[in-house]
Amino acid sequence: MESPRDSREFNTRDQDWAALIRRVADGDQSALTTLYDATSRFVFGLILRVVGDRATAEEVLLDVYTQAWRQAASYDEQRGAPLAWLMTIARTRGIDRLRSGRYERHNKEPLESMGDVTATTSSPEEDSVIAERRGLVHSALDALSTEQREVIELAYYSGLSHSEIALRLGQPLGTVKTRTRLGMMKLREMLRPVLEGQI
Amino acid sequence: MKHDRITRTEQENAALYALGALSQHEAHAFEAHLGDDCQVCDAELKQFEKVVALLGEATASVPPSSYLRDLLTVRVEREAQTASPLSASVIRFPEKPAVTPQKIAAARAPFGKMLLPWAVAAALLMALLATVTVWLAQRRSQGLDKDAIAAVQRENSDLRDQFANETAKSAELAQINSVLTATRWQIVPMAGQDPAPESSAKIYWDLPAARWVVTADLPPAPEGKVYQLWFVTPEAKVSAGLIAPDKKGHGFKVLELPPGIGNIAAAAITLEPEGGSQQPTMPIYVLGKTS
Repeated sequence: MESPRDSREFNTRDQDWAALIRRVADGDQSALTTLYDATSRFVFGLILRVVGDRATAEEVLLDVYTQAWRQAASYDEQRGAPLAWLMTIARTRGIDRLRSGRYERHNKEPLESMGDVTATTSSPEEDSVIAERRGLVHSALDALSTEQREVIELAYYSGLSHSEIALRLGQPLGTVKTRTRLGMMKLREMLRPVLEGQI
Repeated sequence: MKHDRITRTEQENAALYALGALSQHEAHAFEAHLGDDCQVCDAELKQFEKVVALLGEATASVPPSSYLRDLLTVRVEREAQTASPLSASVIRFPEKPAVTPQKIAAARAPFGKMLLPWAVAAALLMALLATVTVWLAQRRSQGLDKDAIAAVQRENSDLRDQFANETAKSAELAQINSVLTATRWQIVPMAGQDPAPESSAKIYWDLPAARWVVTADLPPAPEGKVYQLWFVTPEAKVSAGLIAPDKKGHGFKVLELPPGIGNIAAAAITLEPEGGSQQPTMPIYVLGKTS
């Protein structure tokens, strides 16, 4: 059984953002603006990757922070860092928009092709913790086999179910499940320093 | 059934559930299993959920357009005046939240509710003005020194300015909200050009009503000059009227699109001689394309 997340596992930035979320829960609009200023470029990057269209991504971004405003009281530090909470809302919202079928996705570039954007748009405030974590996640994804990364990306970014992935790839369902399980286990192993709060 | 150790099947289920890739039926079955207090599977799922949450951080960071920050402020202002965030139903992170009818109703609340806090603020300011006035009269009757009276008069004047600003801001927010609650709308950001690169403007376009709400931040116009807004179509440049910024350079205008204007490709604000021009004579201060 996993032990509760120790407060020491939160770095200073996480603590600051968690404090902002608590103020948002109390109805402090300026705290939401500060949180938006600090995190929106990360959240927007993910939404853009999921929906693949800037205009749609902008609508979803507003939805994400509006939802954060409404549900800040539900944020639980024991279950994840503030940015992870926002990213989870962002992915859910983005995939909801994809599934709504109201528009057709155009951008199907792989994750790696957006690396240049990171290099040119990262802010001076982007601290070393985020850079280190991003590097670790990239390394972890690189450590997967092409087949494992493919199924995880189709589930994560496109919101496809295992049977939809199997259909898309022309692979048996059991193969997709196995690749997903092995890929996720490898990611967990590679990301253990982050999961254990060392970064 | 509780597990003593994780099985391959349950590990697959936990991984796929964390990614949201189980079918609805399978997801419900897995949730039921977790509901039976299987701590082994629960711990496995929590770890995979944290892995999934981290995947987003691999994505490139991209700064969103600056006007979205203003839109968020407007939207949250509206939310704050219709419901407290504490009253929203609590959704456990990282589970998928549901959209409740109450939230939909809040998002479509009438503007009357939205303006209520402004009305309260206005009433408070008016009460304060009245108090200051009475106090001023008392001070006069007591023959107190002129400096104190002058200070109170300045304070009174500042309060009047503040009241005027809040009233104008309230009217502007109400107009912007009226666009954002339309069935279809578009925002056209307008960027500062060479004469004043720091200038900016935005058009909030209510598409069904063919109505524009325009906000602009411009430098003070030189003596004898005015700012003029233009519709730019492939065929012509058509005046959309003058914009008169306040002392801080903030301008605000609401206008109906002329019937038969055609395809508006862009909008621009230029500096023109007093009274405006039939055609833009330049220079362009802000410019934005509509698509």
